[in-house]
Amino acid sequence: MSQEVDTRPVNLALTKLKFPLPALVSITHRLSGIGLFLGSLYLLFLLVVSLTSEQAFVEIAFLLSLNIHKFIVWGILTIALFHFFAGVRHLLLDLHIGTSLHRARQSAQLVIGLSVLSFIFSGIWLFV
Amino acid sequence: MSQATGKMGIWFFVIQRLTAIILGIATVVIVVFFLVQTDWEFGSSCEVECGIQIAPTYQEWHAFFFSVPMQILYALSVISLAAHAWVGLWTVATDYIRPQVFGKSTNVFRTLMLTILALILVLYLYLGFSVFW
Repeated sequence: MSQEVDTRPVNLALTKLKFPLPALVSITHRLSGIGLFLGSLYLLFLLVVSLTSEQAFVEIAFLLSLNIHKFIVWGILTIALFHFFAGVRHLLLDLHIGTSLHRARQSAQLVIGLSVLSFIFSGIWLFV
Repeated sequence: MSQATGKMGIWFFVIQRLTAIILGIATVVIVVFFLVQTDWEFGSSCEVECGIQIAPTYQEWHAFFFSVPMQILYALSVISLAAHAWVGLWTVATDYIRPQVFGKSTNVFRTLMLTILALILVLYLYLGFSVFW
């Protein structure tokens, strides 16, 4: 229960470090989490309003037919699915599955691959 | 704040993972719902307005959402969202709001940020559960 505040400097040259892929996936997982904190307010709002009445549902459907909202949904979907894939990877790592350096790199690549696929696929689903 | 929550680490760890599983299941369910809803007939079998069959009707959407399994999954998801976001944002706050940057006012900033975030998440809970009344 010390009240002392540690103010010693830390020399961590973030711009000079070369981050391996698993590290990048990890930090992106965190960033995407912050993004989802904001994005979920948007989705929650649309969901709640769409269930209040048929009239409101039609208005939400119209809103979502606009390109600006399609781009927002595309962004949130991509971030959410990346967070999902990276999250599954972390849960597996918690269970000591794929913890070797080789496997961790492979699974990080897989997370990125699946995220790119879901980015493309959700884009097609939304716009075509 | 870090002192006050010092012994809760194990609970934060468990809550983060349990809620992750619930939110993961909800994600799969909602993605499958929209994939099933979508009319995948392309080309010649596609009649008028081929691009906009994605949206379900209000009746389908309402019936799907207010089915008992979905109500349970939704209620669990809203609680999970708030709890999961709380643990994640707590982690971020305690990792980045640090004495090296904020000096002696670190704890004040942290407490302030976490209080604001907690209030926002209470708003999420209220908004989320407002579909039921």
